[in-house]
Formats: sequence, C-alpha cells, structure tokens
Amino acid sequence: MKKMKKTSILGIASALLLVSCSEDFLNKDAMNEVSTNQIADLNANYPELGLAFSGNLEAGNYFYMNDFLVSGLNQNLHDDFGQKAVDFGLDLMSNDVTQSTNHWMGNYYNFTARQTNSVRTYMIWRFYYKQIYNMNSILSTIDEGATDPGILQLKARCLAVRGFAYFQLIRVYGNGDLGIPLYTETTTDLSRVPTSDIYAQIESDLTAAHTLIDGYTRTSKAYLDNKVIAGLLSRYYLEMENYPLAAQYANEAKTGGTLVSGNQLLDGFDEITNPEWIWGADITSATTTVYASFFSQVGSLNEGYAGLLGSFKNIDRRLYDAISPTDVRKQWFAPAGNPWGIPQYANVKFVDATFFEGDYVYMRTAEMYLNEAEARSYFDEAGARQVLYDLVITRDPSYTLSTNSGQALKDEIRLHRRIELWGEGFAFFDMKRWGVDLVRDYPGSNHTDFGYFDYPAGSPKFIFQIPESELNANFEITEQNPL
Amino acid sequence: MKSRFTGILTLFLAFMIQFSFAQEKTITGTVTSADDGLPLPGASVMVEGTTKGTQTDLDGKYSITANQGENLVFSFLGMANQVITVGASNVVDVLLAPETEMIDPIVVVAYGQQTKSSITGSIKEVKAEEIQKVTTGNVLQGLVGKVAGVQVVNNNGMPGDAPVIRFRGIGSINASSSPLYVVDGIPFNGDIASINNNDIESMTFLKDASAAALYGNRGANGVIIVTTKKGLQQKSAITIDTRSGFSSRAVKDYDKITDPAKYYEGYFNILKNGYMFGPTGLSNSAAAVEASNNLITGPQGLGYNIYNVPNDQLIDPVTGTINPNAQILFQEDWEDFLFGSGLFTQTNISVRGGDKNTQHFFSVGYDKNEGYVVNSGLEKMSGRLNIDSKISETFQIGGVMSYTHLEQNYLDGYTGGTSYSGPFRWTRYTAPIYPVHVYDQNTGEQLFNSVGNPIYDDGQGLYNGGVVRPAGAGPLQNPYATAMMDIKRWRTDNLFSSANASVNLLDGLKFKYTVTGELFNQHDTSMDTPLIGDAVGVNGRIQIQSSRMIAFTNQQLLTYNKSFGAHNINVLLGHETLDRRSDFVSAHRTNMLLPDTDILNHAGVLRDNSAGGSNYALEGYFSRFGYDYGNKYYINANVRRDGSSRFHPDNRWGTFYGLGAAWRVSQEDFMSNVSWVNELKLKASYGEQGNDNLGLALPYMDLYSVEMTTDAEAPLIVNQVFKGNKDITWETNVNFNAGFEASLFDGRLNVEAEYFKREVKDMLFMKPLPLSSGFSQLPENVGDMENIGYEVAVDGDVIRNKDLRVNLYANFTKFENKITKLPESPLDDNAIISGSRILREGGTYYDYYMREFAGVNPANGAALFWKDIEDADGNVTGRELTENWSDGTRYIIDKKAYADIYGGFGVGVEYKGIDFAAHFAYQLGGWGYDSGYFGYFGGEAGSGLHNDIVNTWTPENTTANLPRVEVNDPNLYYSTSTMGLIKSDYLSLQTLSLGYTFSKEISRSVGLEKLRFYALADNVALWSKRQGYDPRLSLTGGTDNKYSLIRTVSFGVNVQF
Repeated sequence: MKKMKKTSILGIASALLLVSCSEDFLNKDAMNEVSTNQIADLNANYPELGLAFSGNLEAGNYFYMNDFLVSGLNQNLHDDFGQKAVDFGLDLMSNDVTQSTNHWMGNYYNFTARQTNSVRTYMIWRFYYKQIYNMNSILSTIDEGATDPGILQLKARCLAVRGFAYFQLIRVYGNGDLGIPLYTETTTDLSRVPTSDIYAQIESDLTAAHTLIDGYTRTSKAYLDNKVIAGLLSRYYLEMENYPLAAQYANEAKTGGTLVSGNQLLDGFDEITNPEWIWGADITSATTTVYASFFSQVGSLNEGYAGLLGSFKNIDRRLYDAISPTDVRKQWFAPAGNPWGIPQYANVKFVDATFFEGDYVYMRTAEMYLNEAEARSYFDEAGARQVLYDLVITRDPSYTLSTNSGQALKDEIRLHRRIELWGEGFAFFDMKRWGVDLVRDYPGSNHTDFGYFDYPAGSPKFIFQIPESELNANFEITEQNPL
Repeated sequence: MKSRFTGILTLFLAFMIQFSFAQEKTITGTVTSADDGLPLPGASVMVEGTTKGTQTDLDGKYSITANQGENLVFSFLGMANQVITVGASNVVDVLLAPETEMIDPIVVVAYGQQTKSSITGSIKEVKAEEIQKVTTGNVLQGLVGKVAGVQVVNNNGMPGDAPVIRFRGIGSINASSSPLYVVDGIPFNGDIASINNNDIESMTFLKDASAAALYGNRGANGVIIVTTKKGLQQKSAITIDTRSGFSSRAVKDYDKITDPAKYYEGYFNILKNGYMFGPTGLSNSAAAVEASNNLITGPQGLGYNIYNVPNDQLIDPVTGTINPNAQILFQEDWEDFLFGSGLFTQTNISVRGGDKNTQHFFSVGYDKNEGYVVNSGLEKMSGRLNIDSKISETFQIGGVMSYTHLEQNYLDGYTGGTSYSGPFRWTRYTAPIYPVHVYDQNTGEQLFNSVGNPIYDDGQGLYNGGVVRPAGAGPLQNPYATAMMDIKRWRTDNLFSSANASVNLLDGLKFKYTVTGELFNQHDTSMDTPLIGDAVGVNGRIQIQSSRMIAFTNQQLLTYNKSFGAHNINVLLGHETLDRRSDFVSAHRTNMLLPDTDILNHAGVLRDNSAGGSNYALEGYFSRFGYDYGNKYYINANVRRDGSSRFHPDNRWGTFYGLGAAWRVSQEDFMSNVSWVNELKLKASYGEQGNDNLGLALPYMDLYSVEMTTDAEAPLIVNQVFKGNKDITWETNVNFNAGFEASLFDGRLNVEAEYFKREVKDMLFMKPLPLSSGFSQLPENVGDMENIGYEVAVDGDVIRNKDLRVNLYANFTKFENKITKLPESPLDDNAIISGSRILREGGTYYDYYMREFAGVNPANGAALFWKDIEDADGNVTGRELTENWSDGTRYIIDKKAYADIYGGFGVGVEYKGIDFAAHFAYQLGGWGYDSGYFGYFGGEAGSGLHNDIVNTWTPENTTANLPRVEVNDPNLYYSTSTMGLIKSDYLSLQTLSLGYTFSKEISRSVGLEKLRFYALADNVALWSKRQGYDPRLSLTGGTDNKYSLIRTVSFGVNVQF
C-alpha cells in the first residue's frame, strides 16, 4: 500500500513535468497582418518573390494615398482621406474657395488646422512622412549596383514619390530656411534641415527618377511614369523660379494626356479614363472611403457633407466674376437660381456619378499648359501666349490670342490657372509663390463668417506648425513655427 | 458560509462536562432562525456543564429536562449560541441569529480556499445575497460602490454591456488596466454577462500582491474570482425566482429647450449676433430685422416654420419674442417615439442538493430587458450543471458546464459618437421644430403615402414642397425610422465546460487536474435599411461578422496541508497553460432586393470581406507556501514564472512573487480581557505582478497589412501598419499593502482599513517616436507610475434585537496617481502632449492642457483667454488677455480628470419578515470636460439649444457669464478651454430593495419551504453638478452621446420547495 502511494506521487510529479510544453507552444504568428518573421521566411525560401514584395509595398503606397485615416489616428475623422484631403484643405486656406458652414474641413478655412495640436497638421505631416518611410524601405532593399531595368524603374518611381512627398511637406512647413527632417534610405537627420537642402534632395530625387524611369510603360494611371515625373519636375522648377527648366519639363509632361473641350469639361472630374488625366487614383467599391471622401466633402450634387448637409464648397465671388461668360468653366459653378437648388457660387465642377466611387485626379495636362505658359512668360512671352491660347481656346471658344505682356500677361495666366485648377490643390501654394495677400473681407465678399479675416502675404499663418507629436519625441527640433 | 469549524466548536462545548444536582423539570420550546423566521431542525440544546443534550426535530421543537437556574445552551451551525437560564416557565422559545463573529468564514482565493482569518492580503468577498439583487445583464454593472478600492464605471446603459473596472487607481498608461476574471478557479476568457447572476455563490476581489500574485501573469490590475453555486449535501431543493418590471431612462438629458417658441427666439438672437458681429456688421436694430427676415429661409435659416404665421413675422425684431398670434401647426417630440418603457423580466429555476457522495447544482435562467430605446435590448438564456462526486475515499471528480445564449439588439451610436443616425445624439441636439413625420408646412396636416401610412420625414423636402432641414438637424436621417427598420443584432453563444479529477495521495497531499474549454461565438448582423437614412444611396447595406474564440486551459495542482501541533502548513505547486485562438470572418454587401431582410445573400454588390484573428498562449509554473502558528501568526508566500506568446522568445519569461504576513492580535493572551474586541488582525504584504497586455497580439514584430481591392489587374498591395520592438517584455506592478481588520462589540462593528502603494514599473508603453519617422510610436518597456492611497470599509449593526436589525455600511477609497518616469522627451518633465491632455513626470495620468478661459468681455460678449507675452528670445515675461481663441496659450491646468475619492454606502433593515436595503455610490475630486453641454452653443442652424442660452451674452444681456453665441461659432469662443471643465462629483442612489418573507407556517401551509415577495429598483437617482451630466459614464468625467443608464423597477417572487 505504501509503495503504491509512493509510485503515485512519482507518477504525479513526472506528470507535472511532462505537461510542461515545448517552447513552440508559445510561438504564435500574426493572423490579420503579415509579420516580419513571415517576410523573412519568404525572402529566405523564395528569394524570387522578394522583388514582388517590394512591388506590393509600392502598390500599397498608392492605395495609402487615398485611404481613410492616413493619419493613423484612431478617430473618426471624415476629412482625413489622403492626398485629396490635403489638396482641398489647403485650397480652403486660399482666396479662391469658401466654405458655407463650419463642418468637416472647416478647420482649414478658419486656419486652425495649422496649429500644432490640430489633428490636421498631424495628418499632413504623417501622411507624407509615411510615404517617405514606405519609399525608403523599398529603396533600402535595392542594391547600389542594380542593373535590372525592372528594378531601376521601381527605384525611379520610389525616388519620384519621395521627391513629391518632400515637395509637399516643405511648402507646408518650411519657414524661411528652417526646413524639415530629412530621411533617405541611407541617412536620417531629425533636425530642421535647411529648406535649401530639402529642395536639393527633391531635385536630386526627381531628376534621378526621370533618368531611371526610361523604358517604363505603366499599367495604370496610379503609377508614376516619365510624364508624371516630368510634371513633378515642372512644378518643382516653377517653385524654384527656374523657368526654362519648368517650361521644358511642362512641355514634356503635357503630352502625357490630351486636352478635352466643351461638354467634356463638365464630366465631373470623377473618371480616371479622362484623357486629360496624367496621374490619379481609381476609386472602386473596395477602395471608396464613402462619406470620408473628396466627393462627399466637395461634390455639391452628391449626398455627402457638401450636397446633403449643405457644407458647400464655393468659388470666391471675385474669381467667379472674372470668368468670361463664354467660358465653359463658368458652368463649373452654380449661378443664382440654378436648377439644383444649391447656393450661388457652389461648385459643380466635381460631380461623382456613382455613390462615392468617383476617381481622384493628381495631375492633369491642363496644369502642364499653365506651368509652361507661366514659365515662358518670364523668358518667351510669345510662346507663353500661344501655350495659354492652346489651352483656353478649348475652354472658351471666343478666346483670342492674348495681347498682354509683362505683368499683365502673368496676371492673365495666373487667372486662368486659378480658374482651371480650382479645387485641385494649387491655390494655396500659388498664393505663397506669388506673394498674394489673403483677402476675404472685401465689398460683396461671399466668404463666410467663420473664416472672415485677412492675412497679408508672408504672414506666418500660411505656414503650418509642426505637430506636437513630432516635438514630443524629436530632440533635434528646437524651433517651432509661430502660432 | 457554514463551516466545519463551528461544528468542532460545538463539539468542544459539548465535552465541557460538569455535574450539578437540582430539581429537574421538562422544558419544551421551538428554536427559530432570526434570519428568515423559519424553525431550525437539528439545532443542539445542551444543559451547560452537563452531558445532557438533545436536538430539535424537523419543526424546530425540542424537549429537555433541566433544573431551574441551570443554563441551556442553544447552538446551530452558522448561528450564534444563545444561553438561557431556566426560570419558572416550562416553555423556552429561542431565536438564533446568524453567527457574526465566532465562525471563521471560508473565502475563495487564488487556486483554492482559505479561512478569512488566515488571509494576509487584501480581499473582499461579495456574496450571493447581494448579487441576487443585481438586475443588470452583466453582474458587474450592478456593483458600483460595493467594494472599497474597486471602481466600477458603466460605459453606457445598453443592457449587458461590460463596465470598466479599475482596482486602486490606474494600472497602466497604454497597457490594459482591466482586472483578470477567474471563474470556478479558471482564468476566464469569455464575457461575464454570460454568467447568470443567480448562479453566483460569491465574487472575490483580490486587491494586493499577496492575494493576486499567484495569478502573477495577469493579476497586476486585480483579480475578480467568480465562484458559481455548487451542490449541497441535502435533499434537493428547488428554487424559483421570477421578477418582472419596466426599464426606463434613469437620468434626464440636459436642460435643453423643448418649447418651439423659445427655440425660435434663441436662434433669432444667434442670427442677430451674426449680423451684428459678423461680416455684415449691422446695427442692433438692423441686425434684428435681418435676423427676423432670415430666420426660416435665409442662408442660415431653420427651414421649418411650424407656426401659422408667415416666416418673416414669426419673431418680432423689436422685442425679439414670438408673434403672440402664432399657433403651432404641428409638432412631435422625438423622445416620445424613440424612448419609453421597456419590459424587463428575469426568471431563474435552480435545483440544488445531493447526498454524501454526489452533489449537484442545476439551473436555467431567462432574462429579457428591452431597455428604454425602441428596438434595443437584451435577451439571455442560460443553463448550468455543476457536479461533484466522490468515487472513493481517495478519488473525486467534478465538473462545471454552462451554456448561455445572448441576443442583443443595438442601435447606431449607443456607445457614443457624433453620427446623426444615433438616437442619443439626435434627441439631444435636434431642435424641437422638426417632426418625426411629414406635415404640410402650410396647413399643418400630416401627409400619408399611397397606402395610407404616415411618411417619415428625412428632412430632404421630398414631400413637403422642398422644405429641407439644415445641417444641424441632419437631413437624410430619421433615427426613429431607421431604429425601427434597421436590423442590428449580436447573437452570442458561450459555452464553458470544465472537468476535474483529484486524488488524495497521502494524508494531506492532493493532486488535482482540471481541463477547461471555453467557446465563445458571436454573430453580428448589421442591416441599414434601403428605405430611409444614409444607406438609401446604396440601396441598403448589410454587414455581417462572425467571430469565434476557443480557449483551452490545463491546470495541474498539487496541494499539501499538514498540522504539527500549533504549526499549520499548506503548500501548493501548480502548472497552467492557456491556448486561445480567435477567428473572425466578415462581409459587406449593398443593394438589397428585399428592404427588410438581414440576409447577406439577398444583396447584390460586394463591398468588402475579410477574415483573420489572433492567437494567444501562456504557460505558468507557480507555488504557494502558507504557514501559521496557533491561528495567530500567518505567513503567506507565493511565486510564479510565466511565459507569454506576446513577447519574443528571448524576453518571454517573467517571474512574479508575493509575500504576506498577518498577526491576529485578538488571539493573544493579553487581549483576552478586552472583551469588546472580538477580532483584530494586522496584516501587510508586498509583491510583484505582471502585465503582458498592450492590446496587441505581437508587439514585438513589424506588421504589414494586405489590402483588398476589386481590381483584378492590380497587384497584391501591402502596407506596413505597425512597427514592433523585439525587446518588449512584461510590465511589472509592485504592490505594497498594510492594514487591519477589526470586529468589535460582539461583531456589531466591523472595520477594515488598508494603505496601499501600487507602483507600475517598466510600463508597456507606446513610446512616442518622431512622427516624421513614419510611425508615431513604438512599444517599449519604459515609464513608471504610482497609485498611493487608502481604503476603509465600515459596517455595523446599529440596532440588533429579536425583531429588528439595522445595518449601516460605508466604504471610502482615496488615492493619488503620479507619473514618476516617462521616456526622455525634449519637453520639460519629459512631457508628452496629446491634444487637451499632458503626461509628465510629477503629474498625474490625466492632467488637462488647454486654453484658460478668463471670462466674458461685457462690452462685446467675446470670450477672454490668457496668452503668454514673450520677449524677443521667446522667454515668457507675463501674460495678457486675448479675445482670439487661436492666439490663446495652452496651459497645464491644475485640475485632474479622475476622481480621487470614491465609494459607496448604504443601509439594510430587517424587521420581522420585512427587509429593506438602499445602496448609494459617490465620487469626489475630479474634473470632467463636458463637451455634451457645450455642443449646445455651436450656433449651427437646426441644432438644439440649451436653456442656458439666456445666460449667454447679447447686447441686451451684457453681464452674462457665457460668451456670445453666433452662427457657426466663428470666434471659437466655445472651443476647448477651461470653460468646459466641471466637477465630476456625484452621489447616486444605485439600488433600492424591499422584500417580505412569509413565516414558515404560512409558506408550509401552501406547500412551500420558502415564500418571499420583493421589489427592486436600480439607478434610482443621481445628483451631479449639472442636469444631464452623468459623470458615472466615464472614468475621466468626459461626456458622449451614448445610451444613458437605465432604471429597472421590478417586482418578484422567490419560492423554494
């Protein structure tokens, strides 16, 4: 009997030991996402799939550009939807756009979006730096001496997206020569790298991309090809006031599409198949962000925040009045007593024929005509007039070749640029570039009370503050932009 | 709980033999329980100092011979002994009251049970009698203010929704601060709402390291042990408890304007301010005319004129009041439609019994609570079988099996949010001029569709001549129609199944093996009707999600108990593993064929689908050693080593421990003369526990998401969504606890007081990264925080006699939270600023950081904010006032968000068969940000107004304490500032109960063992700083448009036979 008990104790003791599990028991892998371990296994076991993974990351970045909550914030922010949110948000800080009620995006219109604790400045900063991270993480896997054309073209696109992201950032946050942190695949500088150095990086990224992209034919307008990169270079050199190069690259880029005319201009800017579009995003039932989307915020005839809740995005009255009555583009904006029952000046430029599956435009041929015309106005007025004519005649059949010169020619080009690109993300940067005051308080103004103020050109109000989340952890930034 | 110890005591008394000789006579009588008035069969009646003794019969009657002058000792297990001297009478009836002091109750602790006196840690037990009074679908919802040191915060009133529980302050900043639940000895992975309240025998709250460290891996934030009822060695007793009543909204909403005339007048002033102070800059009188003309049809007009006078004659611009001739044509109150009384019913049947070898407990339950909002509520069906059986002297088996089915109908926005479709936001902020149904704007007649049904008004002007609701009144939406037509339902199945076998190996040595499987299935259907609301554009929307969690727990316990003279030891060795896997699959389609179905296959357009899940595994080895000497000195030590799948293999294992000691001073010889002290125990404990829960399955790995597209041409797209850290490991909680327990004056006054110091070290922290790095944060073990405080619980019978017992109790907890270390940051005190809150060393977990409101400028009604003056070098040299919110400086505000004092108190009265109880809860010392109240001052057309609108500045009311309200709030006067802070103090009457138990004679006469009628009410009353502000709904006193708490009033009957 005693022996039996001893045996059972031994049995139990060994059972206790036996039940202890192997270390494998505690190794669990990701079930929603893919983990680094799995990627490492993939690269080790199927190296040929490694390049595909980089391509997947690149495609992921295009998706990210029009995703909901690019800020990564866990808040239901319906004005956080990527590139078009930034584009239109900044337009709301210009002379040319008004917002009828204080709703989503109103923080741009009343200039609170630029404050350090705003989720909007957080969104913009994070959006572009995340893209830079995405591109750097692909670039860091590409060998210095790679020669495979497919890899070099991938590298070109990554460099171009990175250049684009820095170009957006520096124009939002750069304060004189106080720039922004600079990350490349090989270096990290968390300080406020001088603005000039950032511009140098952008130039180097875009020009390198323009060379490396050679021979690439894209499958979708979501991808950057040589025309898109040329278009980015023309934007860059226009900002740099290097007009010959700006004209040269605009001239190259404008062949990326063909101008449309007449009623084609009233298609609602919601189809990536539009021949004028050079770069954009194809929004589908799977990628739509529904109410948190461009057409929800901007489309006066769509059942979103603008069309349904009446937070209309309107054209400034001065600009509207300046559009020739014979110009088709005047029809982009509602006249008084319009058939849709929406307020005068509300835009109908952007109309989504679907339920928030309207596509997004990032670059159009028309912009390239305007870039070229503006650039040429500094060194080739005749050429400038002709390029302007080539564009405007497709908009306004009664347009005649301009006879202006000097500042008057520049003003004419600027006016057409403001009309043509209304709501597409250019007005704010152009005002800064041209040194134009913000004037909303003028006789007959159709600006609304919650943004009814003026700021002179050069005001710090046109510079966003760096988000406080950056300052919480970045030891290198000692100087914030003024409130 | 009746224990063996009293039995031993009784026997002991029985052997105290003395002889005496006197005149004998026969005494008869009945022994009754003071508790329920029922006769006590089997009570012992002894003649003191003799061997003479007898027992009462089934009716509690006895007969004994004794001499006059001798003492009769009446005793019964669990009851206090009574001694009565034999006098002239031959009849002695005795009422025995429940034992309050003499027995040493058994308390459920980690992996076992202990006598209460041997506990060295901090433990509070809530018993079945208390729990039975809880009517909420989740038992924890009903325990607000019941346990010192434990804060229960109901997120919302949705029946069955899980509350937030915090033990002794805030456990962590980013990691989970939620306690661990243990059910019948097994760490629980399911939903506590799945446990039938009536099946619960006790709930034990383990608050310190000595008590909880044995659950070291997950005990850092406290442990709640739920023990279900087990069988008893008795003839099977059947208990039926059924109650029914009504649920209604417990707390009134804000004092909003409900009178349309007052609303029009209020909005008139807002418009007028706009014309005066906005771009047009009109004079007072011109602005009044303009506002009157534009009140209904202007660009910021209200759209609806529900009076019978023309739009521009509704408000007299001179007086600012409504036209005296105006008559209301139509008006409907949304609350009448959306809110009301819901049916509440709860029925439980249980059978409890057994013999010497096998005991069983069986129960079935049914709950239904419709809440107070249409088409919402909870239905719960549960069944349980608990069996314990002794196969032989050395071998026992047991098992627990329970199944619960829950169906919850929920509504858009019940957890809060600003979505117009949520009924809570809607009723709060929609002006009282917009009806539920469509009316002709001119005649006021209600309109009907072609088949004669009323038409719901979606504010788009489709039927009423194009009159639309402005943005503030949510055009397109009709939350009543969508609440009625949408189908939003969770169906949940919970299965808990546990089997154990134990062997007695040697004297005192026992081995027990328990295997537990838990299955939790939830199916969520969400259908947005294609007929009205925001799914009209896609012709209806159906989203389904099915999730499944399965958890296996294996547990091996070896225990050894031995006494050597006055030395008692007990040793536990154990091993435990958990393997848990959750899977989900979800799909989303639009374009429905039928308007009233929630079947995904009935819709045509695929929108989205996904499937995935998460895995979790844990393994732990643990041991406890307990020692006491003469039931006077106690030592308790435990240690545990755990591995978690959440950490990298190199950093996976952590070791935790607890040490405790107690000294029962009252057992010492020198206390034997201090008769008023029945029990006095001093205790202290110290230990470390772990936390592995950062809310992430794999915080140590980088993660990439694969995104879905419908483009067959598009390549697979991948996005890095998380940056992991290989070094991440356990967070440690260091707990110190010291206190005393005392029972005085014959157990009539009980006091427990404890000091605690909880330190969390190497927190599982989402360390901020420079946002420019592409990620905002990285998990890291960094940062320390402490919660220091004390808690006191007192209860006492202020009256205790044969007929009447009045018991008062109260508990009080006070703590201070302090962050002692944060990751290095460029800011002072290593601060981390996040919106209107700041974390910093030396600060608390929740300090406000916002603009400082400095009053109203009486000249123009502008809000004044403080602004720092800086010199050329950026040094602050002083401060000045500004009327521009944007220019205001943000300051650290010396008001914390959490309440540092909380607790509860109450009274229980028993008088003959009647019992009455009232329970209150309170908190003090915190400040909340009442964004709900400030939502009334945004000046949006169509948005509701608060009656305090009369306290805002207007040219006619220049001494107002609230700033001017203008359309669109262009000046941001009501944007975040200290103006929104309000004290989150509250006092609430949580529950009231009243019952009557019939005497045994009466209940027996109708064939029952017990018959009791009762009434219950919960969430009876709330006193807070502002009507509509319910600080109970958030730990930090914030507000949201969520399902407000419900009051349930019910009447019930409890029978046993």
